[in-house]
Amino acid sequence: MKGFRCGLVLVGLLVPVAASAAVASKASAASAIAAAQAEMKLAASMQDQWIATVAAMKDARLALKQGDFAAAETAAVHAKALASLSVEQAKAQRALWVNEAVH
Amino acid sequence: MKLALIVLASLWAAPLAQAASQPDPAADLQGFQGYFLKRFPKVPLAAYVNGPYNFSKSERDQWKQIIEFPPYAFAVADGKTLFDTKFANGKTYASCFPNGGIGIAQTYPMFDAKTGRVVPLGVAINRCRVANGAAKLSLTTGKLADIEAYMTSTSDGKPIDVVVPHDPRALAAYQAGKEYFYSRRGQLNFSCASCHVQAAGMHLRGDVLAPALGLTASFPLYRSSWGDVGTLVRRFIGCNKKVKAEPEAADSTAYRDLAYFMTYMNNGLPIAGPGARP
Ligand code: HEC
Repeated sequence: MKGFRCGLVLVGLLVPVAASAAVASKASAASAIAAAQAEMKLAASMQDQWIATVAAMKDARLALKQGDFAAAETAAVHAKALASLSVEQAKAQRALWVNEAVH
Repeated sequence: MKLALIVLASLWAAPLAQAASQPDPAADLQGFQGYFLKRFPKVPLAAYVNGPYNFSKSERDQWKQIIEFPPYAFAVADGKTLFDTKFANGKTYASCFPNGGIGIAQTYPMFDAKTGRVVPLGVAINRCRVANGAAKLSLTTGKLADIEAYMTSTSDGKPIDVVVPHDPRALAAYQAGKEYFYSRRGQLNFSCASCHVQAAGMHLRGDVLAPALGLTASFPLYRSSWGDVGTLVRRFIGCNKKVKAEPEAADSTAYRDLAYFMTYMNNGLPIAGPGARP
Protein backbone atom coordinates (compact mmCIF):
# COMPACT_ATOMS: atom_id res chain seq x y z
CA MET A 1 0.00 0.00 0.00
CA LYS A 2 2.75 2.33 1.00
CA GLY A 3 4.70 1.42 -2.10
CA PHE A 4 1.63 2.01 -4.27
CA ARG A 5 1.24 5.51 -2.92
CA CYS A 6 4.86 6.22 -3.51
CA GLY A 7 4.49 5.01 -7.06
CA LEU A 8 1.51 7.31 -7.60
CA VAL A 9 3.44 10.30 -6.43
CA LEU A 10 6.27 9.35 -8.70
CA VAL A 11 3.97 8.99 -11.66
CA GLY A 12 2.37 12.31 -10.76
CA LEU A 13 5.75 13.98 -10.85
CA LEU A 14 6.74 12.36 -14.09
CA VAL A 15 3.56 13.01 -16.02
CA PRO A 16 3.98 16.73 -16.74
CA VAL A 17 7.57 16.26 -17.82
CA ALA A 18 6.75 13.25 -19.94
CA ALA A 19 3.68 14.99 -21.38
CA SER A 20 5.54 18.11 -22.49
CA ALA A 21 8.36 16.04 -23.88
CA ALA A 22 5.90 13.90 -25.76
CA VAL A 23 3.81 16.85 -26.97
CA ALA A 24 6.63 19.11 -28.15
CA SER A 25 7.36 18.45 -31.78
CA LYS A 26 9.06 20.43 -34.46
CA ALA A 27 5.64 21.69 -35.52
CA SER A 28 4.48 22.66 -32.05
CA ALA A 29 7.75 24.43 -31.30
CA ALA A 30 7.54 26.27 -34.60
CA SER A 31 3.99 27.37 -33.90
CA ALA A 32 4.94 28.57 -30.39
CA ILE A 33 7.73 30.59 -31.99
CA ALA A 34 5.33 32.04 -34.55
CA ALA A 35 2.90 33.05 -31.81
CA ALA A 36 5.67 34.70 -29.83
CA GLN A 37 6.89 36.46 -32.93
CA ALA A 38 3.45 37.97 -33.56
CA GLU A 39 3.26 39.29 -30.01
CA MET A 40 6.79 40.67 -30.30
CA LYS A 41 5.87 42.48 -33.47
CA LEU A 42 3.05 44.17 -31.59
CA ALA A 43 5.38 45.12 -28.72
CA ALA A 44 7.91 46.60 -31.14
CA SER A 45 5.21 48.60 -32.90
CA MET A 46 4.34 50.08 -29.52
CA GLN A 47 8.04 50.94 -29.02
CA ASP A 48 8.40 48.70 -26.01
CA GLN A 49 10.31 45.51 -26.70
CA TRP A 50 12.13 44.10 -23.71
CA ILE A 51 15.68 42.83 -24.00
CA ALA A 52 14.68 39.66 -22.12
CA THR A 53 12.00 38.95 -24.73
CA VAL A 54 14.52 39.05 -27.56
CA ALA A 55 16.90 36.86 -25.55
CA ALA A 56 14.19 34.24 -24.90
CA MET A 57 13.32 34.21 -28.61
CA LYS A 58 16.97 33.71 -29.48
CA ASP A 59 17.08 30.74 -27.11
CA ALA A 60 13.95 29.31 -28.73
CA ARG A 61 15.37 29.57 -32.24
CA LEU A 62 18.68 28.06 -31.21
CA ALA A 63 16.96 25.12 -29.47
CA LEU A 64 14.78 24.56 -32.56
CA LYS A 65 17.84 24.48 -34.74
CA GLN A 66 19.48 21.97 -32.41
CA GLY A 67 16.38 19.78 -32.49
CA ASP A 68 15.49 20.32 -28.82
CA PHE A 69 11.81 20.99 -29.46
CA ALA A 70 10.75 20.94 -25.80
CA ALA A 71 13.31 23.60 -24.90
CA ALA A 72 12.36 25.59 -28.00
CA GLU A 73 8.69 25.53 -27.07
CA THR A 74 9.36 26.47 -23.44
CA ALA A 75 11.53 29.42 -24.44
CA ALA A 76 9.01 30.58 -27.05
CA VAL A 77 6.18 30.49 -24.52
CA HIS A 78 8.37 32.53 -22.19
CA ALA A 79 9.14 35.06 -24.94
CA LYS A 80 5.45 35.43 -25.70
CA ALA A 81 4.60 35.98 -22.04
CA LEU A 82 7.26 38.69 -21.74
CA ALA A 83 6.10 40.34 -24.96
CA SER A 84 2.52 40.36 -23.65
CA LEU A 85 3.66 42.07 -20.45
CA SER A 86 5.41 44.80 -22.40
CA VAL A 87 2.33 45.26 -24.60
CA GLU A 88 0.24 45.68 -21.44
CA GLN A 89 2.77 48.19 -20.14
CA ALA A 90 2.72 50.17 -23.38
CA LYS A 91 -1.10 50.17 -23.51
CA ALA A 92 -1.31 51.46 -19.95
CA GLN A 93 1.30 54.15 -20.65
CA ARG A 94 -0.80 55.56 -23.49
CA ALA A 95 -3.01 57.03 -20.79
CA LEU A 96 -0.58 57.25 -17.88
CA TRP A 97 2.35 59.13 -19.46
CA VAL A 98 0.65 62.49 -19.01
CA ASN A 99 0.97 62.09 -15.24
CA GLU A 100 4.76 62.32 -15.57
CA ALA A 101 4.74 65.30 -17.92
CA VAL A 102 6.13 68.59 -16.60
CA HIS A 103 3.91 71.54 -17.50
CA MET B 1 -32.82 79.05 -18.08
CA LYS B 2 -31.51 75.59 -17.22
CA LEU B 3 -31.02 74.81 -20.89
CA ALA B 4 -29.18 78.06 -21.41
CA LEU B 5 -26.83 77.21 -18.56
CA ILE B 6 -26.11 73.79 -19.98
CA VAL B 7 -25.42 75.23 -23.41
CA LEU B 8 -23.19 77.88 -21.90
CA ALA B 9 -21.36 75.30 -19.83
CA SER B 10 -20.73 73.07 -22.80
CA LEU B 11 -19.52 75.99 -24.88
CA TRP B 12 -17.07 76.81 -22.17
CA ALA B 13 -16.01 73.22 -21.65
CA ALA B 14 -15.42 72.36 -25.30
CA PRO B 15 -12.50 74.70 -26.02
CA LEU B 16 -10.91 73.73 -22.73
CA ALA B 17 -10.96 70.04 -23.57
CA GLN B 18 -9.53 70.84 -26.97
CA ALA B 19 -6.78 72.95 -25.46
CA ALA B 20 -5.75 70.01 -23.31
CA SER B 21 -5.40 67.63 -26.25
CA GLN B 22 -3.88 70.07 -28.76
CA PRO B 23 -0.10 70.09 -28.60
CA ASP B 24 1.13 73.49 -27.46
CA PRO B 25 4.95 73.46 -27.70
CA ALA B 26 5.39 77.08 -26.61
CA ALA B 27 3.39 76.54 -23.41
CA ASP B 28 5.23 73.26 -22.76
CA LEU B 29 8.56 75.05 -23.14
CA GLN B 30 7.65 77.66 -20.53
CA GLY B 31 6.37 75.06 -18.10
CA PHE B 32 9.38 72.78 -18.63
CA GLN B 33 12.07 75.40 -18.12
CA GLY B 34 10.09 76.99 -15.28
CA TYR B 35 9.91 73.64 -13.49
CA PHE B 36 13.70 73.27 -13.33
CA LEU B 37 14.39 76.93 -12.52
CA LYS B 38 12.02 76.68 -9.60
CA ARG B 39 13.36 73.34 -8.42
CA PHE B 40 17.04 74.33 -8.60
CA PRO B 41 16.96 78.09 -7.94
CA LYS B 42 20.77 78.30 -7.71
CA VAL B 43 21.35 76.96 -11.22
CA PRO B 44 21.02 79.66 -13.91
CA LEU B 45 19.27 78.67 -17.14
CA ALA B 46 22.37 78.67 -19.36
CA ALA B 47 24.30 76.46 -16.91
CA TYR B 48 22.00 73.52 -17.67
CA VAL B 49 24.00 72.83 -20.82
CA ASN B 50 26.72 71.49 -18.52
CA GLY B 51 24.49 68.65 -17.42
CA PRO B 52 25.71 66.78 -14.38
CA TYR B 53 28.44 69.30 -13.54
CA ASN B 54 26.05 71.62 -11.74
CA PHE B 55 25.32 68.92 -9.23
CA SER B 56 28.60 67.27 -8.39
CA LYS B 57 31.84 68.96 -7.42
CA SER B 58 33.94 65.89 -8.13
CA GLU B 59 32.54 65.58 -11.65
CA ARG B 60 33.08 69.31 -12.16
CA ASP B 61 36.71 69.00 -11.14
CA GLN B 62 37.17 66.00 -13.45
CA TRP B 63 35.59 67.98 -16.24
CA LYS B 64 37.90 70.95 -15.75
CA GLN B 65 40.82 68.59 -16.12
CA ILE B 66 39.34 67.00 -19.20
CA ILE B 67 38.71 70.24 -21.06
CA GLU B 68 42.23 71.51 -20.52
CA PHE B 69 43.07 69.26 -23.44
CA PRO B 70 39.64 68.79 -24.99
CA PRO B 71 39.37 65.15 -26.10
CA TYR B 72 36.94 66.15 -28.84
CA ALA B 73 39.51 68.42 -30.50
CA PHE B 74 40.64 65.59 -32.78
CA ALA B 75 37.06 64.82 -33.76
CA VAL B 76 36.46 68.48 -34.65
CA ALA B 77 39.65 68.60 -36.74
CA ASP B 78 38.85 65.31 -38.50
CA GLY B 79 35.29 66.50 -38.98
CA LYS B 80 36.43 69.70 -40.66
CA THR B 81 38.66 67.75 -43.04
CA LEU B 82 35.77 65.45 -43.95
CA PHE B 83 33.39 68.39 -44.25
CA ASP B 84 35.71 70.15 -46.71
CA THR B 85 36.48 67.03 -48.75
CA LYS B 86 34.75 66.94 -52.12
CA PHE B 87 32.37 64.14 -53.10
CA ALA B 88 33.10 62.26 -56.35
CA ASN B 89 30.87 64.77 -58.18
CA GLY B 90 32.99 67.70 -57.01
CA LYS B 91 30.45 69.10 -54.54
CA THR B 92 30.96 69.42 -50.77
CA TYR B 93 28.72 69.20 -47.71
CA ALA B 94 28.48 72.98 -47.75
CA SER B 95 26.26 72.76 -50.86
CA CYS B 96 23.56 70.91 -48.89
CA PHE B 97 23.07 73.39 -46.07
CA PRO B 98 22.02 76.97 -45.58
CA ASN B 99 25.00 79.29 -44.96
CA GLY B 100 27.30 76.55 -46.22
CA GLY B 101 26.59 74.54 -43.06
CA ILE B 102 28.39 77.01 -40.79
CA GLY B 103 26.68 78.17 -37.59
CA ILE B 104 23.41 76.36 -38.24
CA ALA B 105 23.51 73.34 -35.89
CA GLN B 106 21.29 75.14 -33.35
CA THR B 107 18.33 74.92 -35.77
CA TYR B 108 18.33 71.09 -35.80
CA PRO B 109 16.32 68.84 -35.56
CA MET B 110 14.35 70.52 -38.31
CA PHE B 111 10.90 69.65 -39.62
CA ASP B 112 11.00 68.85 -43.33
CA ALA B 113 7.69 69.80 -44.95
CA LYS B 114 8.53 67.80 -48.09
CA THR B 115 8.74 64.43 -46.36
CA GLY B 116 6.66 65.38 -43.30
CA ARG B 117 9.42 64.05 -41.06
CA VAL B 118 11.84 65.40 -38.50
CA VAL B 119 15.43 65.67 -39.71
CA PRO B 120 18.16 65.72 -37.04
CA LEU B 121 21.58 67.01 -38.08
CA GLY B 122 22.99 63.49 -38.48
CA VAL B 123 20.18 62.50 -40.84
CA ALA B 124 20.73 65.74 -42.81
CA ILE B 125 24.42 64.85 -43.20
CA ASN B 126 23.48 61.40 -44.51
CA ARG B 127 20.92 62.90 -46.87
CA CYS B 128 23.63 65.16 -48.24
CA ARG B 129 25.86 62.15 -48.81
CA VAL B 130 23.16 60.18 -50.60
CA ALA B 131 22.24 63.21 -52.74
CA ASN B 132 25.88 63.34 -53.83
CA GLY B 133 26.29 59.66 -54.54
CA ALA B 134 28.00 58.66 -51.28
CA ALA B 135 26.86 55.89 -48.90
CA LYS B 136 25.17 56.64 -45.57
CA LEU B 137 27.32 56.63 -42.44
CA SER B 138 26.53 55.23 -38.99
CA LEU B 139 24.42 57.73 -37.05
CA THR B 140 26.00 56.91 -33.70
CA THR B 141 29.76 57.34 -33.91
CA GLY B 142 32.77 57.61 -36.22
CA LYS B 143 32.96 59.88 -39.26
CA LEU B 144 29.43 61.21 -39.01
CA ALA B 145 29.89 62.09 -35.33
CA ASP B 146 33.11 63.91 -36.32
CA ILE B 147 31.35 65.92 -39.03
CA GLU B 148 28.59 66.73 -36.56
CA ALA B 149 31.22 67.76 -33.98
CA TYR B 150 32.76 70.18 -36.47
CA MET B 151 29.43 71.65 -37.58
CA THR B 152 28.29 72.00 -33.95
CA SER B 153 31.55 73.72 -33.00
CA THR B 154 30.70 76.49 -35.49
CA SER B 155 27.47 77.07 -33.55
CA ASP B 156 29.09 77.16 -30.12
CA GLY B 157 27.27 79.61 -27.87
CA LYS B 158 24.39 80.24 -30.26
CA PRO B 159 20.95 79.90 -28.68
CA ILE B 160 19.17 76.68 -29.60
CA ASP B 161 16.40 77.58 -32.01
CA VAL B 162 14.28 74.58 -32.96
CA VAL B 163 11.04 75.42 -34.76
CA VAL B 164 7.78 73.47 -34.60
CA PRO B 165 5.84 75.01 -37.48
CA HIS B 166 2.02 75.21 -37.60
CA ASP B 167 1.83 72.02 -39.59
CA PRO B 168 -0.24 69.19 -38.13
CA ARG B 169 2.50 66.70 -39.05
CA ALA B 170 5.13 68.72 -37.18
CA LEU B 171 2.87 69.04 -34.16
CA ALA B 172 2.17 65.29 -34.28
CA ALA B 173 5.91 64.54 -34.41
CA TYR B 174 6.53 66.86 -31.47
CA GLN B 175 3.73 65.23 -29.50
CA ALA B 176 5.01 61.72 -30.31
CA GLY B 177 8.46 62.70 -29.03
CA LYS B 178 6.94 64.10 -25.87
CA GLU B 179 4.95 60.91 -25.30
CA TYR B 180 8.07 58.78 -25.87
CA PHE B 181 10.00 60.85 -23.34
CA TYR B 182 7.40 60.50 -20.60
CA SER B 183 6.29 56.88 -21.22
CA ARG B 184 7.64 54.17 -19.00
CA ARG B 185 9.11 51.22 -20.85
CA GLY B 186 11.47 48.29 -20.49
CA GLN B 187 11.42 45.61 -17.86
CA LEU B 188 12.50 48.16 -15.23
CA ASN B 189 9.45 50.32 -16.02
CA PHE B 190 11.26 53.67 -16.23
CA SER B 191 10.62 56.65 -18.50
CA CYS B 192 13.31 59.10 -19.57
CA ALA B 193 11.61 61.48 -17.13
CA SER B 194 11.92 58.98 -14.24
CA CYS B 195 15.67 59.55 -14.28
CA HIS B 196 16.18 62.93 -15.96
CA VAL B 197 13.23 64.82 -14.39
CA GLN B 198 12.11 63.12 -11.16
CA ALA B 199 15.61 61.97 -10.14
CA ALA B 200 17.56 64.84 -11.77
CA GLY B 201 20.63 65.84 -9.78
CA MET B 202 20.60 62.59 -7.79
CA HIS B 203 23.17 59.82 -7.96
CA LEU B 204 22.72 56.58 -9.84
CA ARG B 205 25.65 54.29 -9.08
CA GLY B 206 28.68 56.40 -10.06
CA ASP B 207 26.74 58.94 -12.14
CA VAL B 208 24.92 62.14 -11.36
CA LEU B 209 21.69 62.19 -13.34
CA ALA B 210 21.67 65.19 -15.66
CA PRO B 211 18.42 67.15 -15.72
CA ALA B 212 16.35 66.90 -18.91
CA LEU B 213 16.79 70.64 -19.37
CA GLY B 214 20.00 71.12 -21.34
CA LEU B 215 20.37 67.40 -21.98
CA THR B 216 20.89 67.73 -25.75
CA ALA B 217 23.01 70.91 -25.80
CA SER B 218 26.48 69.34 -25.65
CA PHE B 219 26.05 66.73 -28.35
CA PRO B 220 27.89 65.22 -29.98
CA LEU B 221 30.12 64.59 -26.98
CA TYR B 222 33.18 62.72 -25.86
CA ARG B 223 32.63 60.25 -23.04
CA SER B 224 35.57 58.68 -21.28
CA SER B 225 33.61 55.41 -21.06
CA TRP B 226 33.06 55.46 -24.83
CA GLY B 227 36.62 56.52 -25.58
CA ASP B 228 35.41 58.61 -28.51
CA VAL B 229 32.76 61.05 -29.63
CA GLY B 230 29.17 59.85 -29.85
CA THR B 231 25.92 61.37 -31.04
CA LEU B 232 22.65 61.94 -29.19
CA VAL B 233 21.25 58.79 -30.81
CA ARG B 234 24.09 56.76 -29.30
CA ARG B 235 23.01 58.03 -25.90
CA PHE B 236 19.34 57.20 -26.59
CA ILE B 237 20.41 53.63 -27.36
CA GLY B 238 22.41 53.42 -24.12
CA CYS B 239 19.62 54.83 -21.97
CA ASN B 240 17.01 52.49 -23.52
CA LYS B 241 19.23 49.55 -22.61
CA LYS B 242 19.61 50.82 -19.04
CA VAL B 243 15.92 50.09 -18.45
CA LYS B 244 16.16 46.69 -20.21
CA ALA B 245 14.35 47.89 -23.30
CA GLU B 246 15.48 47.15 -26.84
CA PRO B 247 16.72 50.34 -28.48
CA GLU B 248 14.97 51.72 -31.56
CA ALA B 249 16.77 51.87 -34.88
CA ALA B 250 19.19 54.83 -35.00
CA ASP B 251 17.27 56.30 -37.93
CA SER B 252 13.80 55.55 -36.50
CA THR B 253 10.95 58.02 -36.44
CA ALA B 254 10.76 57.43 -32.67
CA TYR B 255 14.30 58.73 -32.08
CA ARG B 256 13.86 61.62 -34.53
CA ASP B 257 10.70 62.73 -32.75
CA LEU B 258 12.29 62.25 -29.33
CA ALA B 259 15.24 64.45 -30.31
CA TYR B 260 12.79 67.02 -31.70
CA PHE B 261 10.88 67.29 -28.41
CA MET B 262 13.96 67.23 -26.20
CA THR B 263 15.88 69.82 -28.20
CA TYR B 264 12.85 72.08 -28.46
CA MET B 265 12.65 72.04 -24.66
CA ASN B 266 16.19 73.50 -24.70
CA ASN B 267 15.30 76.44 -26.93
CA GLY B 268 17.13 79.57 -25.83
CA LEU B 269 19.97 77.69 -24.11
CA PRO B 270 23.38 78.08 -25.74
CA ILE B 271 24.90 75.29 -27.83
CA ALA B 272 27.77 73.85 -25.80
CA GLY B 273 28.91 71.18 -28.21
CA PRO B 274 30.87 69.26 -28.79
CA GLY B 275 31.07 68.43 -25.10
CA ALA B 276 32.99 66.12 -22.81
CA ARG B 277 31.83 63.92 -19.96
CA PRO B 278 33.85 61.77 -17.57
C1 HEC C 1 17.72 54.47 -15.15
C2 HEC C 1 17.92 55.88 -15.29
C3 HEC C 1 17.91 56.45 -16.70
C4 HEC C 1 16.87 56.45 -17.58
C5 HEC C 1 15.51 55.81 -17.42
C6 HEC C 1 17.32 57.22 -18.71
N1 HEC C 1 18.59 57.66 -18.53
FE1 HEC C 1 19.61 58.95 -19.71
N2 HEC C 1 21.20 58.85 -18.47
C7 HEC C 1 21.27 58.09 -17.32
C8 HEC C 1 22.61 58.18 -16.76
C9 HEC C 1 23.10 57.49 -15.50
C10 HEC C 1 23.35 59.04 -17.62
C11 HEC C 1 24.82 59.45 -17.48
C12 HEC C 1 24.93 60.53 -16.49
C13 HEC C 1 24.30 61.78 -16.97
O1 HEC C 1 24.93 62.45 -17.76
O2 HEC C 1 23.14 62.03 -16.61
C14 HEC C 1 22.42 59.45 -18.67
C15 HEC C 1 22.74 60.35 -19.66
C16 HEC C 1 21.87 60.77 -20.65
C17 HEC C 1 22.19 61.76 -21.65
C18 HEC C 1 23.52 62.50 -21.77
C19 HEC C 1 23.58 63.65 -20.81
C20 HEC C 1 24.91 64.29 -20.71
O3 HEC C 1 24.95 65.51 -20.40
O4 HEC C 1 25.91 63.62 -20.91
C21 HEC C 1 21.09 61.89 -22.45
C22 HEC C 1 20.92 62.79 -23.65
C23 HEC C 1 20.08 60.95 -21.96
N3 HEC C 1 20.58 60.31 -20.87
C24 HEC C 1 18.84 60.76 -22.52
C25 HEC C 1 17.90 59.84 -22.05
C26 HEC C 1 16.66 59.54 -22.72
C27 HEC C 1 16.18 60.18 -24.01
C28 HEC C 1 16.03 58.59 -21.99
C29 HEC C 1 14.72 57.88 -22.29
C30 HEC C 1 14.71 57.09 -23.49
C31 HEC C 1 16.86 58.32 -20.83
N4 HEC C 1 18.01 59.08 -20.92
C32 HEC C 1 16.53 57.45 -19.82
C33 HEC C 1 20.25 57.38 -16.76
C34 HEC C 1 18.99 57.20 -17.31
